[in-house]
Amino acid sequence: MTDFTLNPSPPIIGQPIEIGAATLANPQPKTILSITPFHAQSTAVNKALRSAIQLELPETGMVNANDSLRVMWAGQAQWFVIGTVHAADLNKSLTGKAAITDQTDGWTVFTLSGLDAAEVMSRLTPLDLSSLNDGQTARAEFAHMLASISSLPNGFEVMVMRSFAQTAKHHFCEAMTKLAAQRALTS
Amino acid sequence: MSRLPTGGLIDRDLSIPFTFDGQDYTAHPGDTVASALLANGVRLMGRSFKYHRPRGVISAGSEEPNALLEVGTGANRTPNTRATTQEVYAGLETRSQNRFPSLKSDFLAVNDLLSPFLGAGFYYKTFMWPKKFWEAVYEPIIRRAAGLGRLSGQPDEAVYEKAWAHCDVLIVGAGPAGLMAALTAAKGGAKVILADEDFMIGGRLNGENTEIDGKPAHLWAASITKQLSAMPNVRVMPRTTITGAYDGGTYGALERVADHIEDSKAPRQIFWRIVAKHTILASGATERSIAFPNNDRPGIMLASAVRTYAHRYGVTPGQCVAVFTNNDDGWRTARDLQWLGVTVAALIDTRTDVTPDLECPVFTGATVTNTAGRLGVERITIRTSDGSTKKISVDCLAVSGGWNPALHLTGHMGGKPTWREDIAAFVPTPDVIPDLTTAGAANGTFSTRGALSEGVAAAKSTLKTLGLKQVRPTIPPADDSETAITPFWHVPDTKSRAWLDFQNDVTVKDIQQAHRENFQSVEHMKRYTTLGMATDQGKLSNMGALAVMAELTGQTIPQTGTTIFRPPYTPVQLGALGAGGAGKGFAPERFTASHDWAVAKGASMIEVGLWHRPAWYAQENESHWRASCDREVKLVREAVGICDVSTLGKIDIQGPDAGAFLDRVYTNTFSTLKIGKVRYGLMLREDGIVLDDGTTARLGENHYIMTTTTGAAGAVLSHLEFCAQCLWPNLDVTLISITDQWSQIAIAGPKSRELLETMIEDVSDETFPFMACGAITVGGINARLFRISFSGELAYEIAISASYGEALIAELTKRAETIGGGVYGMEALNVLRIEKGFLTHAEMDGRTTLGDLGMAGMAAKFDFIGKVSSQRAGLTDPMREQLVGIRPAGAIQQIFAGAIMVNVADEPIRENMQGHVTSVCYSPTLDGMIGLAFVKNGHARIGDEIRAVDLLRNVDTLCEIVSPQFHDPKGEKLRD
Repeated sequence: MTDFTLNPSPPIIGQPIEIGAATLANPQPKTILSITPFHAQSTAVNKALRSAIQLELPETGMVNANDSLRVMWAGQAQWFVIGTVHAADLNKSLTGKAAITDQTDGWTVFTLSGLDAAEVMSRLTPLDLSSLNDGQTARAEFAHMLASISSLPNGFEVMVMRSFAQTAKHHFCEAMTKLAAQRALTS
Repeated sequence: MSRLPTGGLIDRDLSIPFTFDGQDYTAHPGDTVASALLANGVRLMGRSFKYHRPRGVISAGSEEPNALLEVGTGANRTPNTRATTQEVYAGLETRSQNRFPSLKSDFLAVNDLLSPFLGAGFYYKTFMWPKKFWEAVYEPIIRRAAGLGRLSGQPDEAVYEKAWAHCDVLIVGAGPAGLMAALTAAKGGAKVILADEDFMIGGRLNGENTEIDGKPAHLWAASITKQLSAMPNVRVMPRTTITGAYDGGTYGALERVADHIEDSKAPRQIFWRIVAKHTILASGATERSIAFPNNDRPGIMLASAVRTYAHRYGVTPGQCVAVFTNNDDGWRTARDLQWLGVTVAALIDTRTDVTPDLECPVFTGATVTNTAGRLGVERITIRTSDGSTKKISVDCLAVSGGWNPALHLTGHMGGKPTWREDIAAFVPTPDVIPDLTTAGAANGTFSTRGALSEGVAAAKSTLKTLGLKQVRPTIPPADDSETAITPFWHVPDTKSRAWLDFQNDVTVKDIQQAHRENFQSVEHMKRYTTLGMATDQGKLSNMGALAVMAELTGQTIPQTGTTIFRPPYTPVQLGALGAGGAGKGFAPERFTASHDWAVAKGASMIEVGLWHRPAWYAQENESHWRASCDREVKLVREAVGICDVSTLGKIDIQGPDAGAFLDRVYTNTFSTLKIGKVRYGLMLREDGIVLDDGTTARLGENHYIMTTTTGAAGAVLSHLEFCAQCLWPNLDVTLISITDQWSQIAIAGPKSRELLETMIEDVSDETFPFMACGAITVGGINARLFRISFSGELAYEIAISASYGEALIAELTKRAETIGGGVYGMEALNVLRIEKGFLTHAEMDGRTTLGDLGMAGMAAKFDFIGKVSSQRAGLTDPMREQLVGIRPAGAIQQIFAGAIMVNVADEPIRENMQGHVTSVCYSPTLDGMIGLAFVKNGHARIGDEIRAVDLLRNVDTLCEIVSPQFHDPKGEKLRD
């Protein structure tokens, strides 16, 4: 056996892309873990999570967060722990209580910020984003793809499955470009 | 020139050049093409559809049936653009349509002379015989003559966009009712969208000489618009037509963003889907005409349109105008024109009991009985109340037959309108569209003051429904006079034609003829005569035709009923409806982590579902895909091949009942699978037909990973979710896709172990025997190794976190190339699996059973999904088509997938079909073509001869039926 190392692929967006009054970035979190409690284990899972990361599983459509970590509802009986977390430790504390999978490379996290973020999003998702408050999240269609969309203080976070990331970036940039051109008509 | 010396909401300081039929003209900002052409003295703007009659503009809005133009050049040419809505911009090129060689002298105007033969239904009667003439003669001629404008024939290069909007209150129309509704709702805190099809907000207020709140109405409209635009909870959308009402408070809307700008990079149009909690329809009303002989000449216009041109555009459509009316509103046109200094030659009112207070010749109880003028009206003939006739020279005739509320949206869900005798018009029936109320002229309330009040009332009730703040806005003083009308639909005449539908050339005579031929229903009459079926959808003609129908049948108008209004309200370009769907927008693209690497390596890509996968990797000396494919097959069979198989679905299954769950969904058993082992499985649908196959590995006591076919990953996961959530909610099992998390790379071939030994600590047969799996470290990264094979060779698959997928395949390929191996694509993968008789969805095509596939032995278990159904008589019939291999056995050595199988002596027709070919390839291993096929009772016919006939390519191949396992049938190589 010969020694060699494997290097990870670069992120899909290096420097944030600014078009018009919107900025697209790819702040890929260090870890994304999925958690699905086994039957009758929700209380035990919450207890274990409280002790391990000081957060519980939020209600449907909600996100619980602290400085370094978020627990986000991600679908039917499914949550994502997103941020800096020691996967092995969390795994250990939830053994027998919940199914955990590593999704760190399975999802690409985009953020769209700026004055026109909401207007760009209105080209890409049917979700009523004015009703999506801070701390809320939704599974929704995004440019014909499955996505998790969350509200951020200055914009939105859109998570798509990794294989769709190029398509998502393409649609983001198209919508941003078209909107910027439209804004230029009236400015 | 017809531009009035002063007035109009145009910027007279700026001139804009544009062309019409190659002629240069100028306009002012604020002009439409119609107003600018009228200002330049152009009355003739088009030709009618059937008779090619000369036509001029009749209206000043989106209801225009006559003045349709081709706008723009090259790929951007847009036909059937209404001159009344197209704003003029510098350099705009417009052309008239449906004429040859020119608008003034049109050859097909001969149709007008032939009109006695071309009445309603002439197509149906004329082109019946001889039968074979239809395709060869009639249809080509009709097709050439039909249509109005011409498409460019080139791909549309314009940019379009689609978008969603959400609001509490959508207000359709920004006239007095809409503006007051918007202001009231906005002050109550509602999130408001105010949409109007015009580029200038204000509706009829911009076209009238009236006052609101002591100031000119258009200034009042502008000040309210300014106020609304400054409110954060209001979106004012000019140039936006609400095109349709749909379920759940959703409305289609077309915003014309850049149709008024030359060479914009902005989307030309945006198609919006607006979701509103409540909608206020304040779409106003459309004036209707009166049918009288030769009422279609250029210069004969709607009376309100004449006012609009005068007040809004500072243009008089004529220097000597007559007004023909059945209601008080017509008087307003005469009065306004006189005030502007235009000669009013006559006011002709059909009513006898009125006394118009006008300083012009007035004829009450009179009608217009004819008109003259080849390319525009020059003279009218009237019949006065005493029965005498009188000819009057005019260059414009303003006609008012009353007003129709623009209630079209309320019919989009099948609702029928309600007749109101006092205004002789249909009004919207309440609640035919959920959560929609109507206000103003759209509701049949025609006074300005009435419209303002109803706008406020509608908004207040909406605020109450939505639980928002109640406000008490002041309703500004405005004209409160209602219009009196005595219905008068058409001037009786037996000789001349009186037009109802200007665009489709339907006259009163046509309706009468349809009635004579027993077309009693209004829907039948519409289709027989084509009334209301042109691009204007009969906005001006429907009511007149209904009235004529009612008269003929002796019924009332409400008894006669209306035809159904359907979306869109005005034409919507397919480019806008399909915005974002062209090119890459057709469907999302899914890429593997190694996509860029593969492209750089020379891969040609193929789409598998949404995924893009390398089909083959061409090397320099390879000019044909087969050369690449053959080489790649050989390097797997003889050395080692590397292939990214990440696209296969991967489902993580955990829980105390995971094993029991899999036992129920697969036909074979997985609860007995040892930890660290992999098993091939097949699952059926409820109806006993094969759903998918794949391998499932057991990673721990309660932890499995299932793989699915690439294209079936979604279907399988939703099937499993359905089973878990609905069939057996008591089973404690969790499911999640990990397809995107893991890159999976196949290493296949006799030298695969040799290769992996250079990268992984222990890949010995003892540690990783056939169908084993386990955790490994590769290049310092944790990964999983599976000893599985889809090629029939000694083979492995490594799963690694996707961000390392590209690095791993690059490293594997680099090392493989040093020992005679290399990377391979989907074509080679397909050849390898056909040589082994392995299945894909070409075989599991949604019609096949386990028995058909030769897998009946996998259904031995007591029960599983599909077990009972799979035992139905029809699914166990030995004469079903069964999977076999085929090889050419005669002179022709080619087989095509899709070919039908027939017995050697039979004719290749459907009745003789014995089956079909599912997959074929040239096998470099066997040096010949091989195929997989379904053949009736095929398993018992191994060794027989049969023919594979491709009727499309005309290839008839004599074949031998063989076992589908062409290569290493005992499977010794993959266990080696």
